[in-house]
Amino acid sequence: MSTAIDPYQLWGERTSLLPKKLAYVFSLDLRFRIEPSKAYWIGNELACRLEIEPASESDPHHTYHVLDSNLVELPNGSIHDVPSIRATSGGDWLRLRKNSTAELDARVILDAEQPRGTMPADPRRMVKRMALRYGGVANLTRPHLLFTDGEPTAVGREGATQNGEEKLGTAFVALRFDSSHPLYRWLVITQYVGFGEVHIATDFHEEAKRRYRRLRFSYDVYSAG
Amino acid sequence: MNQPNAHSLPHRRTFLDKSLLYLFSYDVEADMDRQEIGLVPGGARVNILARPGLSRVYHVMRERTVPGLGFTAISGTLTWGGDWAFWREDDVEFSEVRMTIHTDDGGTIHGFYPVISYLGPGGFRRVVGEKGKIGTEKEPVDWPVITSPRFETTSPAYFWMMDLQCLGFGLVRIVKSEIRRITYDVYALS
Repeated sequence: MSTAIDPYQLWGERTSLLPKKLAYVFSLDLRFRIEPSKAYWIGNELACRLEIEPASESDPHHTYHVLDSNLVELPNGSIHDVPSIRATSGGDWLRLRKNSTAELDARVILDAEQPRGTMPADPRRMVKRMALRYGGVANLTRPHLLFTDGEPTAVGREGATQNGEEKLGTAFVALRFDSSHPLYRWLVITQYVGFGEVHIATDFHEEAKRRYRRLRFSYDVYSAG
Repeated sequence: MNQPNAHSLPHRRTFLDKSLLYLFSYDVEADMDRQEIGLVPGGARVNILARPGLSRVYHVMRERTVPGLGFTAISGTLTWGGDWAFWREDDVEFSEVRMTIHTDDGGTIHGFYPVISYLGPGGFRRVVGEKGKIGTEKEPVDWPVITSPRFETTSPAYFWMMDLQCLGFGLVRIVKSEIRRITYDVYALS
């Protein structure tokens, strides 16, 4: 694929930027549990595994289009169905630095349902399994809320609490999908990035609060090109 | 008492804030002496190294600080770089890139990122085979590549880079299915 850029301008130190494009693909909500008692130190970093909370019957889908569109267009011009994917298992091996930045390293198993408009073949094959791997950084405003054992007293006092959860920071990740199904090949062959927010739940039972925290990572996933 | 539950909430109706903050660019001259591993299960492997001393890191506007962040702009030499490429039989390339940037003010920055790139229909055969090679000396092919770099350093002036997830928009110049030159713009997700 040749481009229209003057080849003589490219090499050497350029004085202009290369063309770039980001295209919104879908949004992805992932819910995790974190047990403060299982956190441990690795050098100067506090490490803990966040465990995926599987999708429930009342909330079966973790992907959606914020404008409820069924189709998305990638930077290369190809048009695809917004996939209907739910997380079933996996985790995020989070490492928190002293400057409140957390390294994210997640492996998630996703189940994708038969896309709209396609013929349902063998019902046993309607659910397509997919692997998601992403890494990146989360900039947390009050990371102590994740790891303090017992009553999370600060929750709901300093920050704005909305719908039973409170924003804890932002997250930026690079995502890779893997699937053997041809319908999702377009997800496999493209680099994706996610702009996200981290929320901590404040609404669950007091006893559970003492054992674990619940986090929601909400990403807008973009394809770059 | 029934509490509102985040799990039963309707989904978000607005996009989250997003922006790309330009950090720096770099050009790489690839060493023609490739380390060809050859055919392996599932594809082919080759290691492509950068020619040391010929690869620059710079700001296209020649700024001394990163606009928006105020930190020292990255300018220097890419002293070492390597691309561990795996061309899969299904025409997809998965690479692992490592590089070392030596800045003009004496800092050392380690960069690393994976690359996913679609080689096009029949791309694997064109890359490893003798027929239908991509690009010629007269008409090289400039192939767009997207990367997701991260950086590590012990230089205090560049600690801020470790807190960023970056995104690279690049072009790879290909002649006879061999990478000759690479140029990237690196942005921070913010």
